[in-house]
This record gives sequence, structure tokens and C-alpha cells, in this order.
Amino acid sequence: MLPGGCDIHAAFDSPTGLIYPAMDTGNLTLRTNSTAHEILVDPKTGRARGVAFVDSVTHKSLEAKAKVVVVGASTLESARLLLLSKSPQHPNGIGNSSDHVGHNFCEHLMGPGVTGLVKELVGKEHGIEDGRPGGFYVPRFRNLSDKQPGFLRGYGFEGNSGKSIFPDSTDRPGFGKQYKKEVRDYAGAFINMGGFGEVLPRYENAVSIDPDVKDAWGIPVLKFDYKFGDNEKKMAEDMAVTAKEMFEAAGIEVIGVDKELLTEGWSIHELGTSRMGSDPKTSVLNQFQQSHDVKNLFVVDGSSHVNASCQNPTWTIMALAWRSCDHLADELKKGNL
Amino acid sequence: MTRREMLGATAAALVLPLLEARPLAALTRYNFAARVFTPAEFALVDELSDIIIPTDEVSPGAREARVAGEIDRRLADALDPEQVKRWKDGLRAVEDLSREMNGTTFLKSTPEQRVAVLTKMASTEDETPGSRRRRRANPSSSIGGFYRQLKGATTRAYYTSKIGIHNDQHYKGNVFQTGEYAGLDPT
Repeated sequence: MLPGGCDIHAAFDSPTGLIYPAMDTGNLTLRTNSTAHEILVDPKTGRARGVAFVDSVTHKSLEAKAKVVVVGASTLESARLLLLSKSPQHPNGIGNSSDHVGHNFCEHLMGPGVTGLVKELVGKEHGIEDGRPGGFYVPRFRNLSDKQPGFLRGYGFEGNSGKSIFPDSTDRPGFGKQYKKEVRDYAGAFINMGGFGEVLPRYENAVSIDPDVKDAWGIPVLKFDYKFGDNEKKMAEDMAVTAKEMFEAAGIEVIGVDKELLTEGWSIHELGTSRMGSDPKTSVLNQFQQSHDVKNLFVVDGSSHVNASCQNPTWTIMALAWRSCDHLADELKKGNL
Repeated sequence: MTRREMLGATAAALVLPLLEARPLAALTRYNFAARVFTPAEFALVDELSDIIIPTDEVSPGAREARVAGEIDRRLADALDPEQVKRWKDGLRAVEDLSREMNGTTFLKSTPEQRVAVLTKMASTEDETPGSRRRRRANPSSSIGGFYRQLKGATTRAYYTSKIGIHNDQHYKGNVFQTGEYAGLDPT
């Protein structure tokens, strides 16, 4: 996918695939520059009755009325919005009778990996290999049929190799003619791969409303209590050791092993702050990402994921959102909402 | 010509006679009105980049590829004003080091003395294997930090230039092939 979307609408992106078609129905009003800060509650029924927001251009406070409120602000902002929406009916924040909103925050684990040199490729002329599909992927293999002593769950490897338009050898040491020759000779002779693992969901890994700090609109921001645990550290150790073993078995000269974990939050796939489940005491949303507490409230983003697994989450988020919308449409037709 | 370009050109015209023959040639040959660098700074970047990536038997070097101009363009378009300051501070530090080591400015030093200054700057370079997969942290204001910045910007500009891509790397890219697949190297 191209950053910023595909100009000729050949590839999927939200405007092309979803927003323009929705506008074509005539039933969509898109209100940009609107920062929502509270889901409003009907004091009689306890149900959601709309959203309070600030127009970010005029700074005016406004309200939108709604039969159903669907939140899709992404994991962190959705949790923030729910937690900010306190009312006598929902003193912990809307949809939060379980005290699980903001908790079980999880994401992915990156950092450990290996770099190798394929000696046979040093000094080779450029071919047309840049035209190949790029990169390779080793799917998860830990804790499937085996049982690792050190950690639960697993990780995959993502890697790349081959010549590209910009040489991958520019960090050869030194400068001058020797440097220039080495960049030329070593271009495309490297191969590297790194682990992409699961951070376990744990109740104590949580986001909450910061009592002191507010954003530009005067809305309280999130505070993070989030740390990798022993499972993540053991998994990271295994990533580095296993990556090295694989390269050595393939006859690749290992020239570098990264062992360090990239810091918490680096891998950007934030998930799990309003987890899905069948028990309203230990989960926030049902299987349709509908609030257990407030039937006309849905959260359709990564918030509902009960764990991060070791894959990129976007397709799962989209598939679940689609299912939620089907359910919502059914329920509206049946008059249940 | 915009007002800024005119100012740059005028400033260049005023300072040019003060510069040495070689960097002067570089400036006049490309008729380049720097937007961020002063003519003296531009001449210094031009020379430093050409020492890092010189002409060899395969391809022309950084000067021919107009690397200094590309660095100036990128800095002029940069959103972070700190970047320009880091470069100006770094270039001043190169001149300070040159005066300390050679008793004169970088461009008035002999070619050997210039290489000695760069060698000194490069001595802090991290050559530990295993760091390839990570982008190095923000360059510090130290001379070693500026060396990494200078080398990074030089390689980035050079290997994205026509000279770098074609003359040096012999990049073939996606070659349009009809009929039977001609293999990895269809030329």
C-alpha cells in the first residue's frame, strides 16, 4: 500500500474502499476536525445518547445525538474516550463495570534478530532482482507442537535480502575509494531477519486517565503503566539464538546478532484495552464488539483483541468491524436497538 | 527567480572571489544558489562529500553528482530547524579541528591534511558488527556525531543520484521483458 493512499484507487484504502462508497449512499455525514471527548448517556436508561466533541477549528463545544454510538478511535483513544465518559450510571467510565477498560494492553515485540553475509554474492553485478516480490516470512513455530520451557506463545521472523535501488551496504566503515568500492561490492550481499513476537495480555499492563496532564483541547491524556515481563524477555532471548541457528544452518555467515528488545511501544500495534469475552465480569465487549453494559455502544478497533498474537492486526480489525456492522444492521432491523 | 534565490545568488557572488579555485569551480560549474549553506559552507560540504565518495575508475564522485546541492535542498525543505543548526555547528567544528591539526582552514589545507581531519573525525565511527539492523540514535553534536551525519547524508544523496544509481551501481530495476524470461540479467 502506498503511504497516503493510492491516487488511482487501484489499491485498498479506507477512503476508496469504504468511505466514498458510504458517501455514495447519501446516508453518511462526515464531520472532520471534530475531537470527541465524551460519550453522552441518557440518565433514564443508562444508554448512550450521543457524543460531545470540540470543533478543533472554532474550539466550540458541540454535541451529536445518536441511536447507536460506534467508537473506532484505535485502541488507545477508544479506551481514553470510554474512561472519560463518566456518569452516575457509569461512574468508572461507560462500559466499564468490569473494570477492564484500559487493561490488558498488549502489542508486539521486536528487536532481536540477525544479519548475515552471503559471500557468494559479494562483487556480483546488479540483476533485475529488485523486481521480485520483496522480503520473506517465517511463520510462528514455537509452542505449536512443542512446549517451550521458558515462555508461552511465539513469534515469526520477517526478513529481507537482495539488491535494491539504494545499496544496503552504505554503512561500511571509513570513507574514500576503499569505502566506495566496498559499498559497490557488498551491495545486495546481506540478508537479515528479525523476530516479531507476542506481548502477553496482562491485567496490570494498563492505560488510565492522567489526573494532571491535559491535551490542547483541555482533555485529560492517557497515563501508561506498561512493562514487558519475563515472558517477553525469554522470548526475545530465544529469537536471537534461533535466528542465528537458522542462518548458520543455511550456510550464511553471521556478521551480527541483535539481542536487545526495542522499547515498550515501539512496535506500534496497540491492542486489547476493551477486551472481548462472554463473561461481563472479565470482559468489556461481546463477540460483536458490543458493550456488555451499554447495548447501543460498539468499539470496532483493536481494543477488542484478547491478545496480540504475532501477526499484524489490521485485517482482523477490519473483519471484526465488518461482522459488527452486519450484527448492528440486523439488530436495528429487528428493533432491538 | 524568487527573492530567496536572488538573495542567495547575490550573496554567492559577493563571497565567491574569496574562495579557492577548486570549490569555486564547483560552485560556478553548477551555478548553484544554496538556500541554507553560505557559499563558504557549501564549498566545504562539497569538498567533504567528494573526499567521502571520490571519483574512481568506475564512476564519478560526490562533487560530480552534486551531492552538496542535494544536502542543501534537503535541509532547506526540512521541517526541523534544529537540523540546519546541527549542520552549521558541525561544519564550524570541522574548521576548528582543521585549524587545530593543520593550522589553517580545511580548504586551505593540503589534500593529505584534509584526509587527516576526516580520519580523525571517523575514528569514533561505530564499527561493531551487529548494528546494521538498527538506525543509529540521533547524531550528537560531537564531531563524531557530525561525521556520521555527513557520511549518511552524502551516501544518501550520492546513491540516489543518476551517477550513483547508474554509473556506479549499474542498477537495472524492473526491466520490461516481452516473450521468454531472459533471466536475472537480461542486458
